Amino acid sequence: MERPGVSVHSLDEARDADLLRRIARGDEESFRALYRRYGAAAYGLARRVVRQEFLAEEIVQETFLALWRGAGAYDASRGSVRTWLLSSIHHRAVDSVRREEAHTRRAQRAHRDAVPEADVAEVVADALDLEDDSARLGGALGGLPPEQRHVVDLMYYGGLTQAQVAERLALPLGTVKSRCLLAMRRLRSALTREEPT
Amino acid sequence: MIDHDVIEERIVAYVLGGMDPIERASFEAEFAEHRPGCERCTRLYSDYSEVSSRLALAAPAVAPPADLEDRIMALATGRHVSSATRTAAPRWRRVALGIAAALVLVAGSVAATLALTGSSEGLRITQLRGAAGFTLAYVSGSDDAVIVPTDAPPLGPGRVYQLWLRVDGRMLGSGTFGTEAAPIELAAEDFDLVAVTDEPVGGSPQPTTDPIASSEIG
Repeated sequence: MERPGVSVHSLDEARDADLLRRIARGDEESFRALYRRYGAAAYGLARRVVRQEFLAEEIVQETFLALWRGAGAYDASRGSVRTWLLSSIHHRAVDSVRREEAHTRRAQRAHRDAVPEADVAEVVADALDLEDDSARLGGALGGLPPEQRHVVDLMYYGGLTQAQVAERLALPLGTVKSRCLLAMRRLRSALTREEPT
Repeated sequence: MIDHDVIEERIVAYVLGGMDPIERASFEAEFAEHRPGCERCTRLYSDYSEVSSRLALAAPAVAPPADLEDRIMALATGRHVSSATRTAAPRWRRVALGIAAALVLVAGSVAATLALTGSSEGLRITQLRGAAGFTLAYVSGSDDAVIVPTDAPPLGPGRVYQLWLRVDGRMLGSGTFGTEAAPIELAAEDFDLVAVTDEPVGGSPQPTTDPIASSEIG
C-alpha cells in the first residue's frame, strides 16, 4: 500500500475532525461513520484492559455516547480525534478494572493475567488501516529494555497505578516513575523521528 | 512554581493511566492552569498523548458485537434505530430464530407469550413486574436476550433502563436500553433474579435507584 505517512495521517485527521463537527450538529450518519472507523480499535483496547467482553462493550458504548453529547467540546489544537477517543476509552477501561478489582479483591489477578510481553508486538489491526502505526509501535516497544517495557505493560494494559506497579514489582516508586519516563521518552523520539513535521 | 522535570514525569504517568483518581484530578487542574503559558509542556503533552494512542492501537483491534452499533445509535437518538446500511449481525442471529419468534409474540400479545413461558428448546420468557413492566426473552445457556418494555414510562433526558442479574446474592449489571424492544447481552448465564432500574446513560456499576420491575427466576 502506498502511503506517504505524514500526509495520509493529516488527511485522516482532517476527515475525523470534519466528522466530529458534523456530529456536534447532530448528524447521525457521521456518528455511525466514526463508530465504524474506530469501533474495533476501541473495543480491542477496552477488552485488552478489562478482559471481559460485556465490560468492554459498556466502555465502548459509554465513550461513544459521551462523544455524541460532547462533540462540540472537542478542541482540535489539543490533538487528533483518534487520540481523544482512544484515551477516553483507556481512562474508562482503567477505572472499570479498578472498580472490578475493588469489588472482587482478587488482587493477584492483574498480575497473573498481565499482558504477555510478546502480545504487544504481535499486532493485528485488520479493521483499520493501521498496520503501519502498529508495526512501528510494536517495533518501538520491542526495542525498550525489558524492565521499562514491563512497567509500561502493567500500567497501560494492566490498569495499575504507578504505586501499584511499585508494590507489585517490589520497587521504589521513584524507580517506577523514572522507568516510565525513560520508556516514554524513547517511544516519543521514535515517533517523532519517523514522523517529522 | 512548577518543576518541568516533575511535570514531564506527571504527564507521562497521566497518559499511561498510572495515576489514581486523586492524582489525576489534581494533575488536570494544575496542568490546565500551567499549559496556556507553556509551549514546552503543551508540546510534551501532545506528543505523549500521541504515543499513548499508539499503545492503544497496539492492542489487537477486535470487531465489537454487531448489534452494538445500533444499541449506541438507539441510546444516542432516543429511538430504536435500524439503518438501511445496517450490517449483518451474526452473533445476534445465532439465537434469532427462537428470540425473534418470542419478540413477535411479545409485541403482538403478552398474554400469548405467557402461555409460551418455559417452552421450546431452552427459550425462556419472563415477565418483570413492578411500577413498570418488561418482558425478557432469552435462551438458557446463551448470553443473548431480548428485552421488551411492555409498560415502561418515558425516560428522562440522559437516562436509560438497565438490566440487572442477581448472581450469588450480588447484582450484576447487564446492558442498558431505552423504551423500545432491544437485543441485550446477559452478563451471566446463571441468575436467580432479574431487575430493571433507571440509570444515567452508559449504565452504572451498581444500581443507583430502586428496581422498577423484577422477576424471580424459578
